[in-house]
Amino acid sequence: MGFLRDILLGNRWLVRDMLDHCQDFATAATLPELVDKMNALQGDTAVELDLVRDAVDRYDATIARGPSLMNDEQLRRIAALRQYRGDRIRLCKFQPINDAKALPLIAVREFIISRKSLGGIRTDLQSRVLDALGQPIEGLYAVGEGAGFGGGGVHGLRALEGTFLGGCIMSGRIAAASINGKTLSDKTSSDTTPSQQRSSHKA
Amino acid sequence: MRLDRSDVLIIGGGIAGIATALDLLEGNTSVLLLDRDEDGAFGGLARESFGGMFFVDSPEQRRQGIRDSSDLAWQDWCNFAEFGPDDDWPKAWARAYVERCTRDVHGFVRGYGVSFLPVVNWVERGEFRPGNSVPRFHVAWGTGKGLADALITALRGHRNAGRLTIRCNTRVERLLMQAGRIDGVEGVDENDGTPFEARAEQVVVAAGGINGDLDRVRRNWHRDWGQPPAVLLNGSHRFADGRLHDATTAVGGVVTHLDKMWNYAAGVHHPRPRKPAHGLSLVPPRSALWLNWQGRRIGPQPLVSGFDTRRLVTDICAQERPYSWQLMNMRIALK
Repeated sequence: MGFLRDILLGNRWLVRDMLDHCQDFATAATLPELVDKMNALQGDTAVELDLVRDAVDRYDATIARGPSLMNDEQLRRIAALRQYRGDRIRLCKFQPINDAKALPLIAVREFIISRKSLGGIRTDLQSRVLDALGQPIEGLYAVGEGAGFGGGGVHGLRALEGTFLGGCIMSGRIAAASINGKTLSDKTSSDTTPSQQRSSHKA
Repeated sequence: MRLDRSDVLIIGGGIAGIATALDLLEGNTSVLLLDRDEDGAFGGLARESFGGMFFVDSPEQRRQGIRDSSDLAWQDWCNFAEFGPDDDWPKAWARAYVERCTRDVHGFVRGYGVSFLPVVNWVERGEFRPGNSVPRFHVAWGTGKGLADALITALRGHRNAGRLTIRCNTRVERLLMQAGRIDGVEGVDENDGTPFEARAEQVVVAAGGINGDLDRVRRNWHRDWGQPPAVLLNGSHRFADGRLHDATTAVGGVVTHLDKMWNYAAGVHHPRPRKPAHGLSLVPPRSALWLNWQGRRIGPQPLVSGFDTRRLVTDICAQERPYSWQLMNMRIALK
């Protein structure tokens, strides 16, 4: 998904690639033409021009009233997001949809996409697989997504994100430490522990 | 039938299996790593990931003046997780993760030359429940592929690499148990269809989740989401099919919470598909209007990404047709 990163950073070539080759993208100069293309893509007449026009007109009119009168939850969020510099660089400032200077219009049809399992094999804090009585099965460990990133579901219902790769590494390292007969905290291999990085950074 | 022996056998060469193998080699343990994919695809789903990693009180946060602590992260984690009364092990793991991730994961990958973009991203801020109180999403240079490449290079070049055997195109079917102890696996060499058996003192299952098998995803669909959508795209690994979950269950292991999944709302068909229903997950632009299947803006609370990913999925699944449209223009798309 390097392409996504590039879209965020504004990679013109990759947007072009999606527009030209992805079946879920439609572009047009006007809303009626766009809605026709959306319906052609879907193969029916489910998309109603009146609804789309209403949504766009209301949103654009709200933006046109100016920042002090932007009574729309999405615009309030955009204003808040832009307070953080990590988001500001990737976020348009109150961009209307129907804008002659920003054409063409683009519609993207989006489906639910399966990605990661939050549940999995129940493990203890040594990554050992547990049986129904809560006893470890000798000789068997589970790590990463197979173990629900540890314990059979470390995220519960929702993830704070960024915890997947990290959970793979931490649960794997914990299994290895257990097999090697030590605890992970015994290891002081890295010269990049946070405390050391801090002191070297100060220096 | 071929028979292999090693101290430890790892099933799955994704980032979890690779991290396990690296530390085992550090301990002079011999490792046989079996992976179902081709040699050129070694590294699993991480290779296609954004490469973001959650750390608490990291050097990058500190440089930005972000004050974070494991107590704050724990509070945020519990808000999002909504743990149940029987979730002792998930809770213990979550607590361990927020306390140890920076030392044991950040320190580890930095030691292999991975570094992070200087500005920490702020995702999953929470919507109806509080989420990340501060930015914690550290994006690795070179994304997930950069991370995977760094760890794979370290693995193949390890001073104990002579104690490591990596075997690809290998499908594990069963865990072997003798006198109450797991002591090996059996499966099929997919190069030529011949069965194999491998023995080890310890076996580590690192074979990924179930979300690469859309039938299994549908069977475990969460009740909050009603019926599974007719069109569901696959953004997981094609071999993350739950085969080892079944094998683990067969030897008495417990599998829990399979109805909890991290699916995304903005999937499109891959322009060059390499598997059935192959999808790409877009980062939904926040300046686009999010419309339902009819073209009506979803609301009254509009869908905006970066706050609660699961809520986006839930709201779209609640529509009469569970897909959506995002409407934007070229300027928004390019940003």
